Amino acid sequence: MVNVKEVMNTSVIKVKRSTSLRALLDIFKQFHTHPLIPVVDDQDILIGMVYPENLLDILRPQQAKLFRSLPFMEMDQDVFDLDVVPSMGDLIIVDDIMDKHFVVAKETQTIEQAYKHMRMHQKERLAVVDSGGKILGIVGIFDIIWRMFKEKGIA
Amino acid sequence: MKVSEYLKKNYCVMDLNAADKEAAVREIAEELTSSGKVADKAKFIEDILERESLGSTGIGHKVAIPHARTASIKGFVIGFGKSKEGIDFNALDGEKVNLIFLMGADPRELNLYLRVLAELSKLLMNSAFREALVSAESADQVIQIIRQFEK
Repeated sequence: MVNVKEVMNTSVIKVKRSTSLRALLDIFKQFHTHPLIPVVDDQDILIGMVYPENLLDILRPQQAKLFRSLPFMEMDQDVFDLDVVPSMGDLIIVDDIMDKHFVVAKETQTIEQAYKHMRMHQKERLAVVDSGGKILGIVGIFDIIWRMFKEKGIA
Repeated sequence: MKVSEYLKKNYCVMDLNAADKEAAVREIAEELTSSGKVADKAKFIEDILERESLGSTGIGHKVAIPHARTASIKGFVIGFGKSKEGIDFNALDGEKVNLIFLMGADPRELNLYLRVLAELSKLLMNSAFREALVSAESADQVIQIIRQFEK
């Protein structure tokens, strides 16, 4: 039984509640291969999550919820018709937009358990936390799949 | 969705007595209790000030938009306060604040909350709008000015 900690990525890009939208966008741009950014407190305890969808909430607040459930409707969304002004970059901080409720993988779980969790909640990545809620890493569905191929001698 | 739909004249304080931001928030929050949407005034103020400590909402040009997502509010509320002397909000440009829009939203009202913040920020970018508000003498005028510039 392979523990989730054996496959997780431990170099995690994190932000604080106070991180401004401006800074958050910079981080997303630099690390866009990490489309999940955990929000932690000073003790590294996981307190929220930011996804690119949370950014869309700002551009089109009324439609965001709808778009999340009907992705094909994004074709109509005119991203070039932004209804925001520069001061929003400082006015909005991570705390204003982050998901305060989120799903995690526990450090005691196996990759099978983490995989089931991902499928059930339709997430491709989960933060891995210890019993105190402190973030240890992020496990992605690819990490698990890769490990399974490795076990079979392919990777 | 218009700001004027949510800001009622009795949620406006035309001449804040407050000398500091905490007192200013308290004064405006007090007016908001008449909305029936403030489930816990003390918690609301606490959450607003906590949010303010994470990052100043004094976005410059002597305006501040203190806001918080908080379970102490049912739905969404917005209030207004004007200070002649100016209040220190640790604003980004270092200036004291004359115009304050206080907002609170139930965490489930995220979309409305962001929409109002965006609309308000846009309105406040306009110096004519700010000047009109500074000159306003009554809450009725404040609402009228907002309606006028919202179009």
